[in-house]
Amino acid sequence: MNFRKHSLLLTAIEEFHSHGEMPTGIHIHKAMSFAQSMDLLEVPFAFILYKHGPYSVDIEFELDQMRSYSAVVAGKNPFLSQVLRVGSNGDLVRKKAPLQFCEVSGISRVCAFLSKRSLIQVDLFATAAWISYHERISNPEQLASRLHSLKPFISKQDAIAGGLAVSQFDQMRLAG
Amino acid sequence: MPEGITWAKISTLLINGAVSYSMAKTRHEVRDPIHGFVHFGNLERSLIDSVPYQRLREIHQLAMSYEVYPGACHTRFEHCLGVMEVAGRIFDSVFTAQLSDQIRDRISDELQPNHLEYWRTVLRLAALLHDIGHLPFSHAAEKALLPEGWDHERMTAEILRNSEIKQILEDPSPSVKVEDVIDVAWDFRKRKDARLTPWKTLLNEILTGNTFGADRIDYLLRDSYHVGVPYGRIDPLRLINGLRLILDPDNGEIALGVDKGSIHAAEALLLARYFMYVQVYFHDVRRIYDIHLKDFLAEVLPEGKFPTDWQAYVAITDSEILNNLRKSFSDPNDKLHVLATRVVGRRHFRTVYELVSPHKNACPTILGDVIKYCEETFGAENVRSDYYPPKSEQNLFWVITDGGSLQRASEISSVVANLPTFEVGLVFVDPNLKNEAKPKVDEFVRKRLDEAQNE
Repeated sequence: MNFRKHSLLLTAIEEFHSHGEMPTGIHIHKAMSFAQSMDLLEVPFAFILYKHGPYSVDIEFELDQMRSYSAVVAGKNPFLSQVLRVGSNGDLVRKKAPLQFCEVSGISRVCAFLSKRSLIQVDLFATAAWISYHERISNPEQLASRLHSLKPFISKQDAIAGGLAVSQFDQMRLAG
Repeated sequence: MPEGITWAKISTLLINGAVSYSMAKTRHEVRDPIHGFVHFGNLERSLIDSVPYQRLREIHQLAMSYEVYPGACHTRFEHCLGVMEVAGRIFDSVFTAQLSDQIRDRISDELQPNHLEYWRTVLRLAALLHDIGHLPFSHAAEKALLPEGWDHERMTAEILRNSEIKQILEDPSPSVKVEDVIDVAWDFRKRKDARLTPWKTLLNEILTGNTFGADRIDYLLRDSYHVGVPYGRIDPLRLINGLRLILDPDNGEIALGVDKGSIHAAEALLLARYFMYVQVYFHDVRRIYDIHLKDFLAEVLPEGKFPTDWQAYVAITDSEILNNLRKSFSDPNDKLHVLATRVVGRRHFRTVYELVSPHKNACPTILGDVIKYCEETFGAENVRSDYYPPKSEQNLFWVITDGGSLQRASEISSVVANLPTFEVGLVFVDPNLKNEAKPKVDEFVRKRLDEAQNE
């Protein structure tokens, strides 16, 4: 049982709620990948880039584990797939693996950035961050064109806007 | 046609028996207990006749489940034929239905008649060949007995690229690209080395998809039929006929959805899977046979691993392993006699603990705690354990309503929304220790749960 991993995921769920978002598994995958790409904290999950953007088998595994002992519960929402909430064993996780302040604040910044967006946007931002981190493409034009080649149904304009938003986030991070 | 010969003359001669007339057969069929008939063409027949495919006749579909369910003697051979049939039916259902303009635009190139026929062939071949790299006894020992980074999918790709299968695929005109078959056959979620195009991902999902994959449809039907349990009986035709291509509103990608009229067939599939896993695939005795088999193989195989050289690999089937087991069992002086006796002599370890949800809720580490306790109390050599993590099948698929709009399956179906997850944790001990161990383990669990409440 890896309580540190659970603690990171639990924090992401909490932070999304505190920013007014109802997080699903998709939000958690994208937020963790985004945090890794932006180098905000050490994220101990491996990701692959597949057709719906960055995805982690590890995260899927750990979320299922957390659900199995009620650290996380999945509630119903008529408009979204299952919304994740902290469950009755959330306190146990926090007690077993408390996070440092900088880790919580890193996750919080990512969740704030990704909250109140459509899932298509969340995917777009996470994919843009992935490209800039893994493929070392930082030029907004090149980034947009790579995004568009991966997701042809996203317009060039949206791809440019997505790339710019991510690079702005990155600049704010560097500025501290 | 030579001058002076007409079809009328030929037919007269034929009717009178004056000439023998033969025409090469291009379509073939075999009977199948699940699908009635499985149909195939010459190319598929050549592949079925190949050595790597014929090997599947000697790979049991459900490993040693026949020790628990005597009827479970079916093999990967007929399963793969069945998957090919189902995959073809899904393809036909999906592409004969009316497609929206947006989808049509997105895949206009692939929809050209000759391209579509090519991809139908690729999908069926991928379905036929998807399990060709299976180890003896299927999944029983895959993780432990293949070197790091290898699994049966990678072995399948290795065999397709190097064996006579490559030649057979490249022979016809136009030929079939081996890499196209591999891309469609190899579950993309398990593949880190390749990014598939949206089109190939779609075909891959038709074959390997969690919710409506042809592989799953066939194995549920076939396994339940042979095992003799009614849980896996679903209505495949209703389900397949209701599958449609949609644009997923969450991400704008082309995906498989289901027509509202087929939602009950989809529910039945999901329930069937749940019951088959709980009742059959994770039956505790079946699982301990897998473990004993793995223990035996780890001793028999050079350096405890199967070879990754494809030629050496395809030379090993269940038959070779069973011969080894019987040989060791019949000779009391054989160094593997005890291990062989566990399987052939049915002296398998007995269950002393089974993880249940209330225990895990009260103490998330309970399974590990019990294993540690047993190993310390009875000796690690007398204890075995098995764990299958919880896997929430979120079943996030879309349903096309009567009005043509899309709704999440979980909004329409309470079965889909409330399907339980399952998790398996088992601890076994040597049969000679069972009577002593069971009450001790029960007592340990009770105490550990009490302690956890106060932590």
